[in-house]
Amino acid sequence: MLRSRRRSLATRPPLLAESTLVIVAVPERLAAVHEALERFWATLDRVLPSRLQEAMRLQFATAVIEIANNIVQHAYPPGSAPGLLQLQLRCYADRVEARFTDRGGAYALPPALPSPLESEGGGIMELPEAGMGLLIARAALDRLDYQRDQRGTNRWRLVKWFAEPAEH
Amino acid sequence: MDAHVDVRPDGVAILHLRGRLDLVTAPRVKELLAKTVAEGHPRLVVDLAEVSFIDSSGLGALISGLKAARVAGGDLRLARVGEQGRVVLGLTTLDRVLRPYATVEEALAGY
Repeated sequence: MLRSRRRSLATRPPLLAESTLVIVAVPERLAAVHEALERFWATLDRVLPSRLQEAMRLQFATAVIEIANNIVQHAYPPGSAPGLLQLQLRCYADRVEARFTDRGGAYALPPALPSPLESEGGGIMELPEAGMGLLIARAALDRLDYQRDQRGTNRWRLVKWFAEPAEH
Repeated sequence: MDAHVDVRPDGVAILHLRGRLDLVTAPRVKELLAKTVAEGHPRLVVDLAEVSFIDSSGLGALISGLKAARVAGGDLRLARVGEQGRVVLGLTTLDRVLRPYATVEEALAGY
């Protein structure tokens, strides 16, 4: 577990919506992930009692795209054999989740880093031009997990709660 | 991604982008920004009104353009950033160096 706020995933409320997308993991197919997210939001507008906050949708969608980018770039880097990426989008009563699976190369998940401006002392010329995807995903989500199982399947799990949990 | 550049009489170049600024399109935008600076227009405004999505690669292209502009004595300013773009700039705190202007005119003021 990389990042967790106070809530527990142990109890699972009813699954309200689920959609699955399988694509070839190449940059040109990432548009399909955007389209899957659009369809998912349209479904949630029907099954949820109230419309999700726009900021929350945008943060979740941004994180989903960043992880999809990550898989395309690192699990199946240019020059390697193309492979598939599966994305499951799920909505429970209290959260949305995205689960990615692929059978590409293993990913070495770096530790959480401060924002580029903080880590580089504010110098514009030192700002990174790549590698910000995980930082964005972590900042946008409540929880981000990555595991590789013994059979060589990479599994990402992205969680965004509907509202901040009550303070204790 | 559609992109075109308007150079004003005062030399400021306005880049109008349309579509997604992402893994697929960022290299082209980076190249266009570098080319515009190299052609003698280091004062840049990037109009993002028609950009629906910016990812980390897109941010990287904008940062690359900002650096090129600064090295040449200019700057890169963002105008009409959409909601998702503001989310990404906020999550990375890059809005401190790529401050979004509400309109192209505001971005041009004082250039």
